[in-house]
Amino acid sequence: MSRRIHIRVGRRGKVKADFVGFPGDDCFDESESLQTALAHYGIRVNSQNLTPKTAEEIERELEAAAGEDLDKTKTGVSDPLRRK
Amino acid sequence: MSHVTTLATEIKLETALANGHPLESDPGWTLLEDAVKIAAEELGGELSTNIRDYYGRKLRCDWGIVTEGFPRGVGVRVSRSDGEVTFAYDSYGGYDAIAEKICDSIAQNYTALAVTEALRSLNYQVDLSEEAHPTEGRRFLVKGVL
Repeated sequence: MSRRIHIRVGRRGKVKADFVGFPGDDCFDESESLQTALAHYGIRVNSQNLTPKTAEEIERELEAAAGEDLDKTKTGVSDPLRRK
Repeated sequence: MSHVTTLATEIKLETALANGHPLESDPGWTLLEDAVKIAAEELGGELSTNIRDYYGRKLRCDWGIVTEGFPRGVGVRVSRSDGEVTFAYDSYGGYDAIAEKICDSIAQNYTALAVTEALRSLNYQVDLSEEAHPTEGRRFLVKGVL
């Protein structure tokens, strides 16, 4: 299963990240790497609310990932913030 | 009373300054410029390097957005001493909502661009899309796949 990070950016730049496919505590390490990378661009994030997923959530992710692997054609790329 | 409001953001461009380089060489500088340009385009505004207060006095800024609905404009300023990014505007007369909308748009655009670049720097393949949210309005979804 590939490793994925889904990050939602809301009003005022509020960030919520979802780590998918990271075994064990790997997501904590990756979260730190991401925080360091974001700090490079001047964004400080607080990951105190990082909580492990439940077994049910992980199972759902695995099922979803299996479904995506079967349908590789759904990979439309959009870029609303096209930079000039 | 008319006043210019200065709001601190969560954005602080410190990387270049910490290495003794000019602020304009910071990796976030170009991103911030892009974020302002995109916000101006989205809101139908124009870019400026000045905004005005209620009395028409000019206030210099690094970038500013002036719209038809808020001709005084919202300015973005980056501190040359510590890289702190602030928004400046005079919302006297009922312009709070529109000024905040402009600030929101800039901050959201900047964060989405920065998240995209941060994930790329970690070797993720990145896809950026927009989604509607019932209370927040627009939201960006940045997907990184390793």
